[in-house]
Amino acid sequence: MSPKNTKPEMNETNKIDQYRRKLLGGSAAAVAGLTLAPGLILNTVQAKSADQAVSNKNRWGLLIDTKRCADGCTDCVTACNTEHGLREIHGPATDAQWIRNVTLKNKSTGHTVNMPVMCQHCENPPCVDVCPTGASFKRDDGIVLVDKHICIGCRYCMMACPYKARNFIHEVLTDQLPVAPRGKGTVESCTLCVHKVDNGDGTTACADACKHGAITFGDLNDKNSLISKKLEISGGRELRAELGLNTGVRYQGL
Amino acid sequence: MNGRQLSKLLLTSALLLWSIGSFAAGISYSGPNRDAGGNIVPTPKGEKCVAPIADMRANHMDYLKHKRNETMRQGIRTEKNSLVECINCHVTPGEDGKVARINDEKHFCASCHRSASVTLDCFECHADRPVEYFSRLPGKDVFALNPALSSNTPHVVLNRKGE
Repeated sequence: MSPKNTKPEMNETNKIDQYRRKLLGGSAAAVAGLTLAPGLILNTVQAKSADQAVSNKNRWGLLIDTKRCADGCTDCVTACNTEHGLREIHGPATDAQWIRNVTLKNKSTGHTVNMPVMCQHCENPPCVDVCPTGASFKRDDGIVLVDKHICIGCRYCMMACPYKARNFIHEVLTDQLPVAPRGKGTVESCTLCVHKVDNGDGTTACADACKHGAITFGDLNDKNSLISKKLEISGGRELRAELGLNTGVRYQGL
Repeated sequence: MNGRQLSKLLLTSALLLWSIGSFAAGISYSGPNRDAGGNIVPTPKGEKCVAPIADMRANHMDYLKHKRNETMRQGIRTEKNSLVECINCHVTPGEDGKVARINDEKHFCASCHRSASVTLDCFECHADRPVEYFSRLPGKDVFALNPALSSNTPHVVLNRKGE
Protein backbone atom coordinates (compact mmCIF):
# COMPACT_ATOMS: atom_id res chain seq x y z
CA MET A 1 0.00 0.00 0.00
CA SER A 2 1.40 3.41 -0.94
CA PRO A 3 1.74 6.16 1.70
CA LYS A 4 -0.77 8.23 -0.25
CA ASN A 5 -3.49 5.74 0.47
CA THR A 6 -2.68 5.46 4.14
CA LYS A 7 -3.53 9.01 5.12
CA PRO A 8 -7.19 9.14 4.14
CA GLU A 9 -7.74 5.77 5.82
CA MET A 10 -6.35 7.05 9.08
CA ASN A 11 -8.61 10.07 8.84
CA GLU A 12 -11.50 7.75 8.32
CA THR A 13 -10.52 5.72 11.39
CA ASN A 14 -10.21 8.87 13.46
CA LYS A 15 -13.66 9.93 12.40
CA ILE A 16 -15.08 6.59 13.41
CA ASP A 17 -13.31 6.78 16.75
CA GLN A 18 -14.67 10.25 17.34
CA TYR A 19 -18.12 9.06 16.47
CA ARG A 20 -17.79 6.11 18.85
CA ARG A 21 -16.59 8.33 21.68
CA LYS A 22 -19.50 10.66 21.13
CA LEU A 23 -21.99 7.84 21.00
CA LEU A 24 -20.64 6.04 24.07
CA GLY A 25 -20.26 9.28 26.00
CA GLY A 26 -23.80 10.29 25.15
CA SER A 27 -25.39 7.00 26.14
CA ALA A 28 -23.38 6.76 29.35
CA ALA A 29 -24.71 10.15 30.42
CA ALA A 30 -28.26 9.06 29.69
CA VAL A 31 -28.11 6.05 32.02
CA ALA A 32 -30.11 6.62 35.17
CA GLY A 33 -27.96 6.60 38.25
CA LEU A 34 -28.68 5.72 41.86
CA THR A 35 -26.62 7.32 44.58
CA LEU A 36 -26.01 5.01 47.53
CA ALA A 37 -23.35 6.96 49.29
CA PRO A 38 -21.34 10.09 48.45
CA GLY A 39 -19.05 9.19 45.60
CA LEU A 40 -20.65 5.80 45.01
CA ILE A 41 -23.13 5.93 42.18
CA LEU A 42 -24.74 2.73 41.02
CA ASN A 43 -26.00 2.46 37.52
CA THR A 44 -28.97 0.24 37.08
CA VAL A 45 -28.44 -2.62 34.63
CA GLN A 46 -29.70 -1.47 31.28
CA ALA A 47 -32.16 -3.95 29.85
CA LYS A 48 -31.61 -4.71 26.21
CA SER A 49 -34.72 -5.07 24.12
CA ALA A 50 -35.73 -8.65 23.31
CA ASP A 51 -34.80 -8.36 19.62
CA GLN A 52 -31.34 -6.98 20.31
CA ALA A 53 -28.35 -9.33 20.13
CA VAL A 54 -25.96 -9.42 23.07
CA SER A 55 -22.72 -7.52 22.58
CA ASN A 56 -19.28 -7.31 24.07
CA LYS A 57 -20.17 -3.94 25.57
CA ASN A 58 -21.18 -6.01 28.61
CA ARG A 59 -19.15 -8.61 30.43
CA TRP A 60 -21.30 -10.30 33.02
CA GLY A 61 -19.69 -11.66 36.14
CA LEU A 62 -20.02 -12.49 39.81
CA LEU A 63 -18.08 -11.32 42.83
CA ILE A 64 -18.08 -13.66 45.80
CA ASP A 65 -17.09 -12.44 49.24
CA THR A 66 -15.93 -15.60 51.02
CA LYS A 67 -15.83 -13.77 54.37
CA ARG A 68 -19.58 -13.36 54.20
CA CYS A 69 -20.22 -16.90 52.95
CA ALA A 70 -21.63 -18.70 55.99
CA ASP A 71 -20.57 -22.18 57.06
CA GLY A 72 -23.29 -24.76 56.35
CA CYS A 73 -25.47 -22.41 54.31
CA THR A 74 -26.66 -23.83 50.99
CA ASP A 75 -29.12 -21.10 49.99
CA CYS A 76 -27.39 -20.31 46.69
CA VAL A 77 -27.24 -23.97 45.71
CA THR A 78 -30.92 -24.49 46.54
CA ALA A 79 -31.94 -21.35 44.69
CA CYS A 80 -29.95 -22.44 41.63
CA ASN A 81 -31.51 -25.90 41.72
CA THR A 82 -34.98 -24.39 42.04
CA GLU A 83 -34.41 -21.89 39.25
CA HIS A 84 -33.19 -24.51 36.79
CA GLY A 85 -35.09 -27.60 37.94
CA LEU A 86 -32.07 -29.60 39.11
CA ARG A 87 -33.24 -32.54 41.19
CA GLU A 88 -31.73 -35.30 43.23
CA ILE A 89 -31.54 -38.49 41.18
CA HIS A 90 -28.77 -40.80 42.34
CA GLY A 91 -26.98 -38.62 44.85
CA PRO A 92 -24.08 -36.16 44.73
CA ALA A 93 -21.67 -38.52 42.93
CA THR A 94 -23.54 -38.27 39.63
CA ASP A 95 -26.20 -35.58 40.07
CA ALA A 96 -25.79 -32.28 38.28
CA GLN A 97 -24.39 -29.52 40.48
CA TRP A 98 -24.18 -26.13 38.89
CA ILE A 99 -22.87 -24.64 42.15
CA ARG A 100 -20.64 -26.63 44.48
CA ASN A 101 -20.15 -25.60 48.08
CA VAL A 102 -16.43 -25.85 48.57
CA THR A 103 -14.68 -25.59 51.93
CA LEU A 104 -10.95 -24.95 51.91
CA LYS A 105 -8.94 -25.66 55.02
CA ASN A 106 -5.42 -24.47 55.64
CA LYS A 107 -3.82 -27.50 57.26
CA SER A 108 -1.20 -25.55 59.17
CA THR A 109 -3.47 -22.89 60.66
CA GLY A 110 -6.81 -24.70 60.56
CA HIS A 111 -8.40 -21.65 58.96
CA THR A 112 -11.36 -22.58 56.75
CA VAL A 113 -12.97 -20.71 53.89
CA ASN A 114 -16.39 -21.49 52.41
CA MET A 115 -17.28 -20.57 48.91
CA PRO A 116 -19.61 -21.45 46.09
CA VAL A 117 -17.79 -22.56 42.94
CA MET A 118 -19.64 -22.54 39.66
CA CYS A 119 -18.69 -22.06 36.01
CA GLN A 120 -16.20 -19.19 36.12
CA HIS A 121 -17.25 -17.86 32.69
CA CYS A 122 -13.67 -17.47 31.48
CA GLU A 123 -12.70 -15.02 28.81
CA ASN A 124 -10.48 -17.76 27.36
CA PRO A 125 -12.50 -20.87 28.23
CA PRO A 126 -10.65 -24.20 27.91
CA CYS A 127 -14.00 -25.97 27.48
CA VAL A 128 -14.60 -24.01 24.27
CA ASP A 129 -11.07 -24.75 23.03
CA VAL A 130 -11.46 -28.51 23.32
CA CYS A 131 -15.06 -28.92 22.15
CA PRO A 132 -15.00 -30.95 18.91
CA THR A 133 -18.46 -29.88 17.70
CA GLY A 134 -18.66 -26.22 18.66
CA ALA A 135 -21.34 -26.95 21.24
CA SER A 136 -19.34 -25.27 23.99
CA PHE A 137 -19.33 -21.59 23.22
CA LYS A 138 -18.95 -18.13 24.72
CA ARG A 139 -21.53 -15.45 24.06
CA ASP A 140 -20.38 -11.98 23.17
CA ASP A 141 -21.28 -10.80 26.66
CA GLY A 142 -18.93 -13.35 28.25
CA ILE A 143 -21.44 -16.02 29.29
CA VAL A 144 -20.13 -19.54 28.56
CA LEU A 145 -22.86 -21.98 27.51
CA VAL A 146 -23.41 -25.41 25.98
CA ASP A 147 -25.45 -25.78 22.81
CA LYS A 148 -27.10 -29.04 23.78
CA HIS A 149 -28.52 -29.49 20.29
CA ILE A 150 -25.04 -30.23 18.97
CA CYS A 151 -23.37 -31.55 22.15
CA ILE A 152 -22.41 -35.18 21.57
CA GLY A 153 -21.66 -35.87 25.24
CA CYS A 154 -17.96 -36.60 24.73
CA ARG A 155 -17.10 -34.82 28.00
CA TYR A 156 -13.80 -33.33 26.78
CA CYS A 157 -14.94 -30.03 28.29
CA MET A 158 -15.37 -31.67 31.68
CA MET A 159 -11.77 -32.84 31.53
CA ALA A 160 -10.53 -29.45 30.34
CA CYS A 161 -12.32 -27.33 32.96
CA PRO A 162 -9.96 -26.53 35.86
CA TYR A 163 -12.94 -25.76 38.13
CA LYS A 164 -14.89 -29.03 37.67
CA ALA A 165 -17.80 -26.84 36.73
CA ARG A 166 -19.38 -29.05 34.12
CA ASN A 167 -21.83 -31.92 34.64
CA PHE A 168 -22.87 -34.79 32.45
CA ILE A 169 -26.48 -35.91 32.48
CA HIS A 170 -26.64 -39.69 32.75
CA GLU A 171 -30.36 -40.22 33.15
CA VAL A 172 -33.49 -39.52 31.17
CA LEU A 173 -34.94 -36.36 32.69
CA THR A 174 -38.56 -35.34 32.90
CA ASP A 175 -40.41 -32.17 33.87
CA GLN A 176 -37.66 -29.76 32.93
CA LEU A 177 -38.50 -26.11 33.38
CA PRO A 178 -39.17 -23.89 30.35
CA VAL A 179 -36.20 -21.63 31.17
CA ALA A 180 -33.72 -24.49 31.48
CA PRO A 181 -33.93 -27.24 28.86
CA ARG A 182 -31.77 -30.16 30.00
CA GLY A 183 -31.42 -33.72 28.80
CA LYS A 184 -29.65 -37.03 28.84
CA GLY A 185 -26.31 -37.37 27.10
CA THR A 186 -25.36 -33.71 27.19
CA VAL A 187 -23.05 -31.62 29.33
CA GLU A 188 -24.27 -28.61 31.26
CA SER A 189 -23.12 -26.02 33.77
CA CYS A 190 -24.01 -22.68 35.33
CA THR A 191 -25.54 -20.41 32.68
CA LEU A 192 -25.15 -17.28 34.82
CA CYS A 193 -28.97 -17.29 34.74
CA VAL A 194 -28.80 -16.27 31.11
CA HIS A 195 -32.60 -16.13 30.86
CA LYS A 196 -32.69 -13.58 33.68
CA VAL A 197 -29.79 -11.62 32.22
CA ASP A 198 -31.52 -11.41 28.82
CA ASN A 199 -34.71 -10.40 30.58
CA GLY A 200 -32.85 -7.49 32.17
CA ASP A 201 -33.42 -8.76 35.72
CA GLY A 202 -29.92 -7.65 36.66
CA THR A 203 -29.40 -10.51 39.08
CA THR A 204 -28.97 -14.27 39.24
CA ALA A 205 -30.85 -16.80 41.37
CA CYS A 206 -27.81 -17.34 43.62
CA ALA A 207 -27.10 -13.63 44.12
CA ASP A 208 -30.78 -13.07 44.84
CA ALA A 209 -30.94 -15.88 47.38
CA CYS A 210 -27.79 -15.07 49.36
CA LYS A 211 -29.04 -13.45 52.55
CA HIS A 212 -25.47 -12.76 53.67
CA GLY A 213 -24.81 -10.54 50.66
CA ALA A 214 -21.85 -12.66 49.63
CA ILE A 215 -22.68 -12.79 45.92
CA THR A 216 -22.79 -9.75 43.65
CA PHE A 217 -23.82 -9.97 40.02
CA GLY A 218 -23.00 -7.26 37.54
CA ASP A 219 -21.30 -5.90 34.47
CA LEU A 220 -17.52 -5.98 34.74
CA ASN A 221 -17.21 -3.66 31.74
CA ASP A 222 -19.31 -0.96 33.39
CA LYS A 223 -16.96 0.96 35.64
CA ASN A 224 -19.90 2.34 37.60
CA SER A 225 -21.60 -0.97 38.35
CA LEU A 226 -21.66 -2.21 41.93
CA ILE A 227 -19.46 -5.18 41.09
CA SER A 228 -16.83 -2.97 39.44
CA LYS A 229 -16.90 -0.53 42.37
CA LYS A 230 -16.49 -3.36 44.85
CA LEU A 231 -13.62 -4.79 42.83
CA GLU A 232 -12.04 -1.35 42.62
CA ILE A 233 -12.33 -0.67 46.33
CA SER A 234 -11.67 -4.09 47.89
CA GLY A 235 -10.18 -6.15 45.06
CA GLY A 236 -11.00 -9.68 44.11
CA ARG A 237 -8.98 -12.51 42.67
CA GLU A 238 -9.49 -15.29 40.20
CA LEU A 239 -9.30 -18.92 41.14
CA ARG A 240 -6.25 -20.45 39.42
CA ALA A 241 -5.25 -17.00 38.14
CA GLU A 242 -1.99 -18.48 36.88
CA LEU A 243 -3.90 -20.16 34.04
CA GLY A 244 -4.61 -16.75 32.52
CA LEU A 245 -8.25 -17.51 31.80
CA ASN A 246 -9.54 -14.10 32.96
CA THR A 247 -12.57 -15.48 34.73
CA GLY A 248 -15.83 -13.60 35.05
CA VAL A 249 -16.27 -14.88 38.62
CA ARG A 250 -14.00 -13.28 41.21
CA TYR A 251 -13.42 -14.06 44.89
CA GLN A 252 -12.63 -11.90 47.89
CA GLY A 253 -11.13 -13.05 51.19
CA LEU A 254 -9.04 -15.93 49.89
CA MET B 1 -51.71 -81.53 5.68
CA ASN B 2 -55.28 -82.49 4.86
CA GLY B 3 -57.89 -80.32 3.17
CA ARG B 4 -59.46 -79.21 6.45
CA GLN B 5 -56.13 -77.98 7.85
CA LEU B 6 -55.33 -76.20 4.59
CA SER B 7 -58.62 -74.28 4.56
CA LYS B 8 -58.06 -73.29 8.22
CA LEU B 9 -54.60 -71.96 7.37
CA LEU B 10 -55.95 -70.01 4.39
CA LEU B 11 -58.69 -68.49 6.50
CA THR B 12 -56.22 -67.43 9.20
CA SER B 13 -53.90 -65.85 6.62
CA ALA B 14 -56.78 -63.95 5.04
CA LEU B 15 -57.90 -62.63 8.42
CA LEU B 16 -54.35 -61.56 9.25
CA LEU B 17 -53.92 -59.72 5.92
CA TRP B 18 -57.25 -57.99 6.35
CA SER B 19 -56.35 -56.76 9.83
CA ILE B 20 -52.94 -55.46 8.66
CA GLY B 21 -54.61 -53.65 5.74
CA SER B 22 -57.17 -51.92 7.94
CA PHE B 23 -54.46 -50.95 10.46
CA ALA B 24 -52.37 -49.36 7.68
CA ALA B 25 -55.41 -47.40 6.49
CA GLY B 26 -55.93 -46.16 10.05
CA ILE B 27 -52.54 -44.44 10.33
CA SER B 28 -52.87 -42.12 7.35
CA TYR B 29 -51.87 -38.49 8.08
CA SER B 30 -54.67 -36.72 9.85
CA GLY B 31 -53.13 -33.56 11.40
CA PRO B 32 -53.92 -32.25 14.85
CA ASN B 33 -56.96 -33.43 16.78
CA ARG B 34 -60.13 -31.89 15.43
CA ASP B 35 -63.74 -31.86 16.54
CA ALA B 36 -66.68 -32.61 14.25
CA GLY B 37 -66.66 -29.00 13.01
CA GLY B 38 -63.00 -29.28 11.96
CA ASN B 39 -61.68 -27.03 14.74
CA ILE B 40 -58.41 -27.95 16.41
CA VAL B 41 -58.89 -29.30 19.94
CA PRO B 42 -57.80 -28.31 22.52
CA THR B 43 -58.34 -24.79 21.19
CA PRO B 44 -55.18 -22.66 20.85
CA LYS B 45 -55.13 -19.53 22.98
CA GLY B 46 -54.41 -17.03 20.25
CA GLU B 47 -56.56 -16.00 17.31
CA LYS B 48 -54.09 -16.95 14.59
CA CYS B 49 -50.63 -18.42 14.23
CA VAL B 50 -47.48 -16.45 13.43
CA ALA B 51 -47.65 -17.65 9.80
CA PRO B 52 -50.32 -19.18 7.54
CA ILE B 53 -51.20 -22.76 8.49
CA ALA B 54 -49.80 -24.29 5.27
CA ASP B 55 -46.50 -22.45 5.82
CA MET B 56 -46.31 -23.54 9.44
CA ARG B 57 -47.06 -27.16 8.53
CA ALA B 58 -44.26 -27.24 5.98
CA ASN B 59 -41.65 -25.05 7.62
CA HIS B 60 -42.17 -24.83 11.39
CA MET B 61 -39.11 -26.97 12.06
CA ASP B 62 -36.88 -24.58 10.13
CA TYR B 63 -38.35 -21.56 11.88
CA LEU B 64 -37.79 -23.19 15.24
CA LYS B 65 -34.20 -24.08 14.39
CA HIS B 66 -33.40 -20.59 13.15
CA LYS B 67 -34.95 -19.07 16.24
CA ARG B 68 -33.18 -21.45 18.61
CA ASN B 69 -29.77 -20.44 17.27
CA GLU B 70 -30.60 -16.75 17.57
CA THR B 71 -31.86 -17.17 21.10
CA MET B 72 -29.02 -19.33 22.35
CA ARG B 73 -26.07 -17.69 20.63
CA GLN B 74 -27.22 -14.07 20.51
CA GLY B 75 -29.70 -13.82 23.35
CA ILE B 76 -32.52 -12.70 21.05
CA ARG B 77 -35.64 -13.63 22.97
CA THR B 78 -38.52 -12.38 20.88
CA GLU B 79 -41.77 -14.32 21.07
CA LYS B 80 -42.19 -15.13 17.38
CA ASN B 81 -41.15 -18.71 16.50
CA SER B 82 -40.05 -19.42 20.06
CA LEU B 83 -40.78 -23.00 21.11
CA VAL B 84 -41.92 -21.80 24.53
CA GLU B 85 -44.49 -19.51 22.91
CA CYS B 86 -45.70 -22.29 20.58
CA ILE B 87 -46.36 -24.40 23.65
CA ASN B 88 -47.90 -21.51 25.59
CA CYS B 89 -50.47 -20.99 22.85
CA HIS B 90 -51.12 -24.47 21.49
CA VAL B 91 -50.97 -26.65 24.59
CA THR B 92 -54.10 -25.76 26.52
CA PRO B 93 -56.37 -27.72 28.84
CA GLY B 94 -58.67 -30.20 27.10
CA GLU B 95 -62.29 -30.99 27.96
CA ASP B 96 -61.16 -32.81 31.11
CA GLY B 97 -59.38 -29.65 32.28
CA LYS B 98 -55.96 -31.29 32.08
CA VAL B 99 -53.03 -30.33 29.91
CA ALA B 100 -51.86 -33.23 27.77
CA ARG B 101 -48.24 -34.34 28.04
CA ILE B 102 -46.08 -35.12 25.03
CA ASN B 103 -46.61 -38.89 25.37
CA ASP B 104 -50.35 -38.34 25.08
CA GLU B 105 -51.75 -38.16 21.56
CA LYS B 106 -53.93 -35.22 22.59
CA HIS B 107 -50.81 -33.06 22.92
CA PHE B 108 -50.76 -30.63 19.99
CA CYS B 109 -47.26 -31.59 18.78
CA ALA B 110 -47.76 -35.29 19.38
CA SER B 111 -51.12 -35.42 17.59
CA CYS B 112 -49.51 -34.60 14.22
CA HIS B 113 -46.16 -36.22 14.70
CA ARG B 114 -47.72 -39.52 15.66
CA SER B 115 -49.76 -39.76 12.51
CA ALA B 116 -46.86 -38.48 10.38
CA SER B 117 -44.51 -41.01 12.04
CA VAL B 118 -42.04 -38.34 13.07
CA THR B 119 -39.86 -39.04 16.08
CA LEU B 120 -39.84 -35.86 18.05
CA ASP B 121 -37.04 -35.26 20.54
CA CYS B 122 -37.58 -31.58 21.43
CA PHE B 123 -39.33 -32.60 24.60
CA GLU B 124 -36.65 -34.88 25.94
CA CYS B 125 -35.14 -31.59 27.11
CA HIS B 126 -37.76 -28.86 26.60
CA ALA B 127 -40.89 -28.36 28.66
CA ASP B 128 -43.99 -29.77 26.97
CA ARG B 129 -46.39 -27.61 28.97
CA PRO B 130 -47.00 -23.84 29.08
CA VAL B 131 -44.97 -21.67 31.42
CA GLU B 132 -47.99 -20.97 33.61
CA TYR B 133 -48.15 -24.63 34.69
CA PHE B 134 -44.81 -24.42 36.39
CA SER B 135 -45.65 -22.71 39.61
CA ARG B 136 -43.03 -22.72 42.29
CA LEU B 137 -44.13 -23.76 45.72
CA PRO B 138 -42.33 -22.47 48.79
CA GLY B 139 -40.19 -24.64 51.00
CA LYS B 140 -38.26 -27.73 50.12
CA ASP B 141 -40.83 -29.20 47.83
CA VAL B 142 -39.77 -26.72 45.23
CA PHE B 143 -40.39 -28.87 42.21
CA ALA B 144 -43.90 -29.96 42.97
CA LEU B 145 -45.87 -28.72 40.04
CA ASN B 146 -49.25 -27.22 40.65
CA PRO B 147 -51.22 -30.41 41.49
CA ALA B 148 -54.51 -29.00 40.28
CA LEU B 149 -53.12 -28.48 36.80
CA SER B 150 -50.48 -31.13 36.27
CA SER B 151 -51.65 -34.45 34.93
CA ASN B 152 -49.70 -37.11 36.75
CA THR B 153 -46.31 -35.74 37.70
CA PRO B 154 -44.65 -37.49 40.62
CA HIS B 155 -43.46 -35.14 43.34
CA VAL B 156 -39.73 -34.86 43.59
CA VAL B 157 -38.45 -33.47 46.83
CA LEU B 158 -35.19 -31.60 46.80
CA ASN B 159 -32.84 -32.58 49.54
CA ARG B 160 -29.26 -31.89 48.74
CA LYS B 161 -27.02 -30.98 51.61
CA GLY B 162 -23.55 -29.83 50.73
CA GLU B 163 -21.51 -32.57 49.22
